[in-house]
Amino acid sequence: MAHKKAPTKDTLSAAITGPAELARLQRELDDFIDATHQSMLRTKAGHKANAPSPTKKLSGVAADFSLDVTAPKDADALRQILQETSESAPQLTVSFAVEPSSAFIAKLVTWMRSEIHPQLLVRVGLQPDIAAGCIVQTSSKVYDFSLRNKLADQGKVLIEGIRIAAKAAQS
Amino acid sequence: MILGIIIAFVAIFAAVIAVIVLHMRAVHHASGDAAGKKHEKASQAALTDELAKQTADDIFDEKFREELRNRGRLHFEKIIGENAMFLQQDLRLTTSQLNDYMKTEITTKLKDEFEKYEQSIVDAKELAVDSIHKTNEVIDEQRKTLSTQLHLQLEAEKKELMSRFEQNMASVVNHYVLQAIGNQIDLSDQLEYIMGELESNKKAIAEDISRGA
Repeated sequence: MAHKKAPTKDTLSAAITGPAELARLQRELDDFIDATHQSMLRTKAGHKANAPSPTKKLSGVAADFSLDVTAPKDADALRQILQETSESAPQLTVSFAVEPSSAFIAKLVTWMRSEIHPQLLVRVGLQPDIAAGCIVQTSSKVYDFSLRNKLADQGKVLIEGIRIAAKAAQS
Repeated sequence: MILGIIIAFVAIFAAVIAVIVLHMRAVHHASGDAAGKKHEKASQAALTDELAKQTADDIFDEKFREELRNRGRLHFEKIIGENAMFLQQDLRLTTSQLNDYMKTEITTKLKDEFEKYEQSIVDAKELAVDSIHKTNEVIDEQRKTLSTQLHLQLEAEKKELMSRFEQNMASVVNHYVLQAIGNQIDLSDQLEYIMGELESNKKAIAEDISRGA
């Protein structure tokens, strides 16, 4: 799969789909770095301390960047990457009628990063009244691919159909 | 009465004749002796006059005069009565003629007045009919204008209502369709459609992203 290939500075891990995941990952990384630092201080002071273990997701993301999060330098590098990504990565919002599955989101994000922008962060929204399809919002534009919009565009066809049906009923 | 008057006239006539005869005798006697008898003639004339006067007084005495007056009065009354009758007849005839004349005149006048009155009524009626016709024409004209305006307004209203109906109907049907199938379509089934739409618009989205970044 495309998201399995190793990310570079220009690419983003498939585990980070949107700003929310990125922010959560940054918090986890900060917590892990703090815990590791405290553990090192305790060890230096002669106390026995268990080294903290990173979450599976944090390890996976670090591995995607060929980094070992347990190593302080790699952890700092990963924090730097995530910080830069948070500041510079473009974002857009995709809204669906129902909550999409993570697999669905992964497919969508992968396609967008390969076709639109490699560091794109996708924020997922919920709009039940669109029935089907999605609405894509960039910073300056809204693309309405919903069934509601399609039906509204086809209003004239619908009315014409009603007229034909009414005439047929009258005759 | 007439007989009395005739007798009176006859008596007067006889007296007058007698006086004339006596006078003629006296004149005859007088002619015989012209010169010497001039005085005698004068005396005889005077005598004759006196005699005639006395005879007349004898004949026309107070009683006879009263009778004559009475007869004259009666005759006068009779004449007056007869004349009164004639006058009455004339008056009646005149009254009758006057009545006929008045009747004819009044009838003629009334007829003329009635004709004028009828003519006035006919004129007034024609005037009223003309006025009614004109009013009817104006009303018809206004009715046509109003009908046209109303028709146009109704058409516009109908068009507006149809437009609103179409808009609202489309919204109602769309809403119904969305409500009916909104939760029935699985998101995984929509992936192909969504990807297709994104594929169609990816260039524009990428440009927006680049511009926004």
